[in-house]
Amino acid sequence: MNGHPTIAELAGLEELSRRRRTATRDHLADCPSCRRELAFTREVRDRAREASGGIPAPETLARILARRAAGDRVILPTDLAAAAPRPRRYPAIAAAVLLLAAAAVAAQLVFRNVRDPAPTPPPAAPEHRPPVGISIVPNGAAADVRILGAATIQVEVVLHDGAELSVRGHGAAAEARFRTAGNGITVSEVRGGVIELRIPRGVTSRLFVNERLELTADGRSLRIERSGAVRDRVVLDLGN
Amino acid sequence: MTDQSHRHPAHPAADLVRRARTGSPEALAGLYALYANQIFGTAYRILRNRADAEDVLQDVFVGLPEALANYREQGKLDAWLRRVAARTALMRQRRERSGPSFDDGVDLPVREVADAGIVERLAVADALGRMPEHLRQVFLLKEVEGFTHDEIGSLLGISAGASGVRLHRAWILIRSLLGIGDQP
Repeated sequence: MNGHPTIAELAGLEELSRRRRTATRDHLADCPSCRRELAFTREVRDRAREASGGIPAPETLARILARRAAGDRVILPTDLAAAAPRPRRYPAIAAAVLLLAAAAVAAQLVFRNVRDPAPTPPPAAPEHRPPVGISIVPNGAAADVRILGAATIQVEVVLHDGAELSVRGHGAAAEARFRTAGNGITVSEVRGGVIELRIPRGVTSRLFVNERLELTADGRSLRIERSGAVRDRVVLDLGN
Repeated sequence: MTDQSHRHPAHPAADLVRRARTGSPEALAGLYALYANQIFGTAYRILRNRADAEDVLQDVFVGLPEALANYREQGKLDAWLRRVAARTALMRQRRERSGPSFDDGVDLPVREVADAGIVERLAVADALGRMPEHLRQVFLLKEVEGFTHDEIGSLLGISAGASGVRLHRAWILIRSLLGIGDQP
């Protein structure tokens, strides 16, 4: 191999491709400084793992059971966690094909413009699936998160300036769960409809949809945080 | 002859999962006994505060019976729970950005640090505490929690490639913070 492996490569030695791993091991056999670097990464990792915070307080379980008995429920972010484990590597061509296919499907599902929710159904589709989409559009001094036919969506607004925030669900979103959390509001179990956000001017805030940062308000305007694929559909000003 | 395999789940947690889904407090307590320490450790490493980690632990188990509807048995339960815990902790951290620091060390597991070791635990904890949050998160999620870059990307809302870049920068920085010389 040419030159020394990077420290990150040494730390992730077992995850390198077989060819790269073999080359790195061959290099390690002849390079004492890289062997020291490898030992360093392993020791740092071990030390970092030791910081566990100890064990939870003994009364924690009783508190959990008491909350459950009192009817308290928490909606956990399980959508990613439920995904089946995937193989770590694919041959380059197969990965590229999969990525292209996934991007095409995702673009159709996620970025469909819901302001014109009249999808053309496939002519002979054996199973019709409703259109799915999320868009964020201005509405006077507010911004609307419009959700159409989506699976469960979670919308989270975080305020940094302690100002008053108004979040209201319309249509199917009126049935959603609204929960204050910290200095923001989390709306979960949204299966459609519109969530209207009223964020006062001069306030810094961030909007997450399914935990993905969608918008940042700097106090005067909103800035879209996603890739250019949806930028042309979003007007950024908040009704100055 | 009775086929025992049909009467007993392959893994003891499988029966607990099945009963916890129905709201059994005993099953929930059984899962707590198996996994609470892991979940607490994951939350603590992300939030660096015992009280916050306790809150996450409570939230995870209060929400667990309903959340188990999304758990598919082909995955490992402990890995699934740690992803849920990490995500819950990251959501909490995002809501309450307050620059926490490791708040205690007295309850850390006791382990002799060999005199011949390159680095010591407290030095590593200190270095991690001084790292920028975006690098520290990736370092912990990858090197301590064992998530893949794809998973970290999903957890943090960044690409897998960006996760790899941050990890590399984190390693460079931690080496510098620990006063270890540059790579040859």
